[in-house]
Amino acid sequence: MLVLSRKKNESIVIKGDGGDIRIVVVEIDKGKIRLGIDAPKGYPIIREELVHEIKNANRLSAFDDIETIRKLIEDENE
Amino acid sequence: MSETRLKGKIIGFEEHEEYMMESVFGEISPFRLLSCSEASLSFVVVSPYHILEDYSFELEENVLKTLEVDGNAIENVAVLCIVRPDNHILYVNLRSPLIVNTKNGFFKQIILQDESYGVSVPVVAKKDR
Repeated sequence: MLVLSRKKNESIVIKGDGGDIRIVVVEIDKGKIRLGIDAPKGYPIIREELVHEIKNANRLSAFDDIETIRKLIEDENE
Repeated sequence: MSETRLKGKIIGFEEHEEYMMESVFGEISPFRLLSCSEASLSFVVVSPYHILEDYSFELEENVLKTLEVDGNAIENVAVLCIVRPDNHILYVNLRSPLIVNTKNGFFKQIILQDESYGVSVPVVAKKDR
């Protein structure tokens, strides 16, 4: 992994065929930094925790029994 | 039983790409999505519009391109969300829907940037309370 040092208002650019991604350090405050990100369309920007949350939800959803779900939907529609 | 072949990846299960849906497009959900490579792997999906009428998001053009949607024709695209029951409550993942090309069966589980849609949204509460 490439590790770079940046100060407030400094940025890095990731060059890509579909356009560049630019990440700016907007604010640094007590162990927390705020980043501004400019990216071309087609590059969704997501917090990594969200990906973990989705993986976890998918894992919990695997192997479910459709009859249980069908019944829950029918109960709700009654 | 009617079935539809689907090809794509579910986040966290990237090693599986081939699925069979036990229905055809246009039927009333829920549908069962069965992995063709792992016999015990399956998901249950619903049409989110049955749950939330005004569910909407902007579909990136590159997704349509990845799914090889002919002429970017949106009428050939279906949206399905994975559901799971837990303790008599049904949860739906509105944050990362499956986008399906109904013509060739290619699908992609996308992640919406819209923070207002949750990963585990309760849909059905049991009525014995």
